Amino acid sequence: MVDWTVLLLGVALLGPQARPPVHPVTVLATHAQPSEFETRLIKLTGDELRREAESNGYLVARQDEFTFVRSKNLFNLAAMDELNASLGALIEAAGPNERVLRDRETVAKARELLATTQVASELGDALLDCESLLLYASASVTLSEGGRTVRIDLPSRPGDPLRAQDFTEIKPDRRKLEKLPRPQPYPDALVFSFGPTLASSDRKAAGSARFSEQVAAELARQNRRATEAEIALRAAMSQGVALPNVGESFQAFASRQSPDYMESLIGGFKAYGFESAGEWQAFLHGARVTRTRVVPMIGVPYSDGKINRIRAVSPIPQRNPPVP
Amino acid sequence: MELTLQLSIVLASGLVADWSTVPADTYSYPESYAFEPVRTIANMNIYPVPYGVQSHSHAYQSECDASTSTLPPWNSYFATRFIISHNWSGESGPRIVPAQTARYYKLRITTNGGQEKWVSINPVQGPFSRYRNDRTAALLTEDQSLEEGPGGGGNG
Repeated sequence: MVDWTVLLLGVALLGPQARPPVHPVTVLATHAQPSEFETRLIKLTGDELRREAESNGYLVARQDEFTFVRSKNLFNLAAMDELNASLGALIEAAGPNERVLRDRETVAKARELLATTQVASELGDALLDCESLLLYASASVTLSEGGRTVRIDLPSRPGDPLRAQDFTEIKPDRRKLEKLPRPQPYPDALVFSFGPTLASSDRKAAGSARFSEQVAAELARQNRRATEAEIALRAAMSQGVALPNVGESFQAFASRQSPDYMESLIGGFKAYGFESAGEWQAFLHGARVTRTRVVPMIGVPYSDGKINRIRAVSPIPQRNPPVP
Repeated sequence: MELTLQLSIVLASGLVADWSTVPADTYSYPESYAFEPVRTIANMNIYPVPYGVQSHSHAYQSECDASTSTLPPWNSYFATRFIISHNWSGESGPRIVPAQTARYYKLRITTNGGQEKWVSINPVQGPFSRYRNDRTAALLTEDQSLEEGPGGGGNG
């Protein structure tokens, strides 16, 4: 009985003293090892930290004993907000028919989106020279018959015609990627660094986890916006477009298409892996649609001096642009 | 005397084929496009892959065809009946295909022409029509995501 009393008394007296002391922790998140400036920054505290951070493009947030510091553009977060807004300009311009964008402001916004894609790696600064862009929906169906599966393009819907002068001639020396403004590619890593602190390792790890959650929520919000914009873009481009239904016979769909389209489709049998036009026609005759797809595309018309080309990609911005 | 004069006018009308366009029957097609697949490279990996150059050649045809009547006056755009085969050649690559992406090379053949119907006032000889299909080609290179769901690209 006495033993219990002593024990409870001991817990009551020692309990508050056993709780570890709370020490403030400054957590910095970067994609690479912190720079000299960043190492100096997280040694600061309070107002001095906030002032110095904000005047250099960093954000500071407080949560309990943690102070989170990150570049505004970590994961290109700031750039992606602007790019998602540029996508809005394309939605306004988009319709079921092909559009040639020549309006300077819309072209500039579309170019910002293209600058994040593979097209920028291939065409480089020459993208700045291209003043016309093609906005269209790439519609395709997948057909199956007798164990074979083939994807074919559906006819596109003509709108503004591309003129000869829309194909800008690109000189090889303009393919360098030097002047085209675009978000910077970043290393696919997330590094946490801590300012001077007496906090234990588990608190530092807890701070990193909470910071990660904040960034993850921000990224998810942006990604949702981009997906919604893409859905809206595709809806604008699919409006009134008669697509075949999954399960429908291709023959039924083909009978509603122009003779030009069918003639060109049948003539291309080799490209679809068939030996003869007859074999290809027999396939098409029995084929059923297993999938339809409409993907918004933006194309850059250009000439390499020999032939006219159109380089096209989805206008959905790439968060981490490919390294040239 | 008066009867003779009237008869001459009727005869003259029968002999001269006075051509003109009739607004209701004169129209132009908008452009139309067709795609012919040239090459497809599908990269199922989660890392980019390089691929090499491949040359292609392709023939397509432009034509102005239909009525064989040579009676005037077809307008200059339709004046000559013709069939021309165009040979197109080009190269695809070398390039890098991003992860989970299909790269389609397609020949985009644009039909620039239109149709105009000309009508003769002489019902025996008309109406005649001619169709013109002028075609030009450009190599279209298109990247599409292989992932399901919305999106032809993006890396959220």
